Amino acid sequence: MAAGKGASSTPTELLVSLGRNQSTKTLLKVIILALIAAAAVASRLFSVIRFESIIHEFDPWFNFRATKYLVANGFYQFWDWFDDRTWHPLGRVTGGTLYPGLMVTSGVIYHLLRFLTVPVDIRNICVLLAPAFSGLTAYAAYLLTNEMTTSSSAGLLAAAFMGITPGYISRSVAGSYDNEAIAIFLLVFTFFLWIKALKLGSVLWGALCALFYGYMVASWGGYAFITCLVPLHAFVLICMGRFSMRLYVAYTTWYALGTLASMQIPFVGFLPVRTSEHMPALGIFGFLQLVAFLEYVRSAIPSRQFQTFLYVGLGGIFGVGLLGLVGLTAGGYIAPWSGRFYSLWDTGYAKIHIPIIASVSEHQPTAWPAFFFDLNMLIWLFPAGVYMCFQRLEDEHVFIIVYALFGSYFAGVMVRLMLTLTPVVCVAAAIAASQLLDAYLQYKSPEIVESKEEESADGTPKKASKQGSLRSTSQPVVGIYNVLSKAFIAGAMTLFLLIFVQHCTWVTSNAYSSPSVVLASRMPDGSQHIIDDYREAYQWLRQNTKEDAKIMSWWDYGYQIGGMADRPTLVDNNTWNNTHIATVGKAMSSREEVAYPIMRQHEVDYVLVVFGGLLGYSGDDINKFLWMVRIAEGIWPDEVKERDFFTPRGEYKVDAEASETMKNSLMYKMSYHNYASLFPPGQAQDRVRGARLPDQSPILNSLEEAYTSENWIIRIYKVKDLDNVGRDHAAAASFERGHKKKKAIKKRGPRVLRVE
Amino acid sequence: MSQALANNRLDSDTQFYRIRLPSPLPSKGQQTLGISFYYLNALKPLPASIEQADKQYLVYSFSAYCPSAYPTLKQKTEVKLPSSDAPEYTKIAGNGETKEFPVKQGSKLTYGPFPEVSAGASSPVKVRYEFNKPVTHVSQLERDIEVSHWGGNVAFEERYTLLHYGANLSSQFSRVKWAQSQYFSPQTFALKEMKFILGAGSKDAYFTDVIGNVSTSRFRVSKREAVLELKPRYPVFGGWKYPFTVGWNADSNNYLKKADGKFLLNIPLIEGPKQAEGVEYEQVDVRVILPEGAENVKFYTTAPESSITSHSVDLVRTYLDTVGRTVLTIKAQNLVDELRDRELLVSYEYSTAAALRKPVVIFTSTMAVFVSMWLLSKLNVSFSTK
Repeated sequence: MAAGKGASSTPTELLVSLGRNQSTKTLLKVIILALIAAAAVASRLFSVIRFESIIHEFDPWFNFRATKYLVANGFYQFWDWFDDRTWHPLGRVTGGTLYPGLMVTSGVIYHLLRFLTVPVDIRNICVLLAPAFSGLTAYAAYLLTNEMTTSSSAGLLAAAFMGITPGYISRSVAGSYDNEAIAIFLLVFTFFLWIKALKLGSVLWGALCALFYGYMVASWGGYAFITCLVPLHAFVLICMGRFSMRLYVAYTTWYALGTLASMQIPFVGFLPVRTSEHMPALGIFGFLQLVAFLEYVRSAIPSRQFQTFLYVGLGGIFGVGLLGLVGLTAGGYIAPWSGRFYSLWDTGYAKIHIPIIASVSEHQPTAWPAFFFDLNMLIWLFPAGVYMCFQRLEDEHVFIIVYALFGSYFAGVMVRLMLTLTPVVCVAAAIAASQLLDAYLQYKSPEIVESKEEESADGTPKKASKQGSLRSTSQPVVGIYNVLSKAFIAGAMTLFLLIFVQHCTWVTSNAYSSPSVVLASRMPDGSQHIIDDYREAYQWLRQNTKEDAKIMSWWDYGYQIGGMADRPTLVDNNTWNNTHIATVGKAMSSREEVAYPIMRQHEVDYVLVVFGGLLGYSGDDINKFLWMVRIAEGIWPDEVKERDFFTPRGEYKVDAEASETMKNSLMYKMSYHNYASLFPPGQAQDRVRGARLPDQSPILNSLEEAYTSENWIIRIYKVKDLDNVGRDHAAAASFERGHKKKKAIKKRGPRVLRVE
Repeated sequence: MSQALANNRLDSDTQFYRIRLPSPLPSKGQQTLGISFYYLNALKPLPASIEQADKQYLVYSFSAYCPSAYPTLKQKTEVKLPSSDAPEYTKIAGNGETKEFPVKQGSKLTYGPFPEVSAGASSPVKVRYEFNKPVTHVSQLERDIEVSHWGGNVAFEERYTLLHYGANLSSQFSRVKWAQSQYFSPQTFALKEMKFILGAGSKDAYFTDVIGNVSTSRFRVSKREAVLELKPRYPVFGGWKYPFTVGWNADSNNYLKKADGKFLLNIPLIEGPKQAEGVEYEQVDVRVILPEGAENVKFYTTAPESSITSHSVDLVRTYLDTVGRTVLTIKAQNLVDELRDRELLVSYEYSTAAALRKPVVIFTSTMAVFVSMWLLSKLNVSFSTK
């Protein structure tokens, strides 16, 4: 990165100093930024090279399906899309309950490329959207950092960090076609525009900021982070006594236009004036008007008493406003904070009240090593960078400090919010690293001549030492004289940077590049073996079942079934209806006699379970089973009880010692049905839970096995129709197996001798 | 030379063809004709649904007499079955020494010889025989051949809609039984593997379906040929469907020749899977995508003329095209495995000017973008000029 500062050796210096210095620098910067963008894209392509161009995981499958719908049916159809193939029988108003930014972006790119007669498959656009935007994010980070410091190397460093840091790569590898793919770029770019608007007090930049804020709202639910951070920044500035017309202009422009823009999204609608998450922005908007008014009055009437009175009045109005807010909330006009927000303050909240939020692994609190894993050396450069911001403390530095504070807190509470922390870490770390490098990579030793004092070190504020008389305000001469120490520090930094690159590559390659639809394993000879059970089963469903066969599965697989198998599902990853999910949970965790009527009522044709026992695949349904039980228990506490699924000693077991409720549950039966017959007697083993299973497999009466994938990961069961002669399924199945019908003689009472 | 008669109706049981003899047959003269034809959808499984491990039996209904519009003096029908296990066949009254037809010899059934039979007579018979192999039916095959002169490449892509017309499963598919049968007795009526034998020098083969790459394929290349071995994602049983796509690239030198200003492309009409039990194709659409600006397209094929239903030459616009590429579309129907090696010869003219069109267009448009960007950067759009 040091190359970004331009050449410094004497022969080239002559060449460069011919007034072309600036353009050479610009050219170098453009080349470096292009290289950074290329590196950012390239490092995200592991999964495409190793596997194929495929959509990853769960949510991206829905986004992909929605994009295909958009491309096929046009924007207005998409906007009004009612999807009857999910949440059967309710359906989902998909067009009004999604963030359309991502799909529209891909759609626009698709049509643009077609216009340029490059007909790229929509799947490839979706797969490569996230890497492409990561290049833009790197550029946005460069712009944002350049607003913080005069050293241009900081911006380039920030861009490089942003490009390859695993914290961001985790959500933007090729195929990870999720809202975050474009949202992080929008987040950073909106912040850049906000800083620019604030610095210049410009309506134009404020309006641009609002525009990109609107785009952000259209793209990701995480827009609330901007909605809260910008007002907070403004509030902190006011509290620091830094109110200015620049702030007033920037904020009011952003708020007025941005809120209007955000209300255009059907899913957001009137939320900006009706929910608590958006109230800080509105409150600060009002507060700024007051402060501006008071500033005006103060300039007109210079009276001390009046001022104090005004400040009391100001406090009063603020208090009344707050009370009004509380009152409106209590009255139900303004929705209180949502559950997901509460769980940001109390990490145990979700587990007790909303198990469905807690059941998602990315909503769990972050483990400490994750910070180092995702950010590596940036995490220790980060505080140093924040400290540098304190040293200068212009308005924009306050923003970094506020962002750093809140970003760190949120990242600590929820794993997925590591994503929002990453940009500020990159910016702050780049400021710190560039400060170090700028000081130590100076080839010339500083001269001790008084007259050269002003230009001694890079990055010192221009204000310093305007007048020789004010010695206390001038900066001391900072510089390194010893070549050895320069070489040492520069070498150490280079080493750290190299290790950082190494770490990022390693993490990306090993942790974040698995499509999770396709599993890879190694054969004994070291060659790659691909386990493709998911797609095998989904393809089977797609080709060999009725077009409208309803599939019941746990909600995790809803989007995949919709996307790959193209069949209607009962519940999916949208999780908008907790009761419906609980119904599925109840069917899975109840006895067959209870589950069958539920399935009949919901017209279920097939039931799909994920079972990893044969392969040792730990993300299977039996391991998720307790969440199903908990979510069902939340709605039917009398019928489903979590305690019943544990052994008397409180263990969660699947072998012969499993509790009766467990053994009779539909999920258990479906997972282990016929499994023991795969092994010699007494050898049946569940490789995930390390349990030896009983020889007798559970007996299923109301379902029949329809398909099991090669490695048994996906098992599909067909729900039997009602019996032709009106028997219940247990009796019918028992008859099929050749048992005689138990004679119900006993119930008639003892025989009595006829006396007649 | 045979030719389908215009008044044939596709839904009719009988189709008439006119055969022109090489030379007029004099009175009392003799001429030997060998006529071969194929039936599609002629086999029905019986029982229609069986257990996974059971053997599949098929029924073939036909007439013991050869269909003919002329009186036949002497004839004999031989039925060669894939195995000697033919538990049921229609027996008809014999003639001469044999009391009863057919005469069974190993896997061969012989009806006849019969005495004189009048024109259009038929004697319906049925044969039920063991056929423990898939009954593979391709209801639609779309085959694209894209010729690139700049790349020196011929790209093939084939999209199959494959169905199994054999016996259905009487109970649901059982993975345990399947795994066991794979181990003990691998012979099954389910389709579990296909082998494509491609021309020498084929490369970059792929096998995908609607949800992406199918990882269970193998591509072997040797000097003489390239073999693409595919396993469907799941074993295809009777009544099941498996649509898929295969594609590969090949060096154009193997297929394209230049002769006196004309280009001659010689490719197989179909290159479907080579299965021992055979494959039938109901509808085949072959599209030969020639370079942009190719003119005067003519084609000739060694496949039976009667199977080609229509052909057309259109334009299609894809990657960086300005006028569009010339496309020859040939629609054929009712093809069978045996026609795999039949050639399709396409001749066309392609001038150097047409070949240079694309680079020139790209170069000028890129230059135009640069120049307009440069002009835009010279434009001053700010409000104040101070």
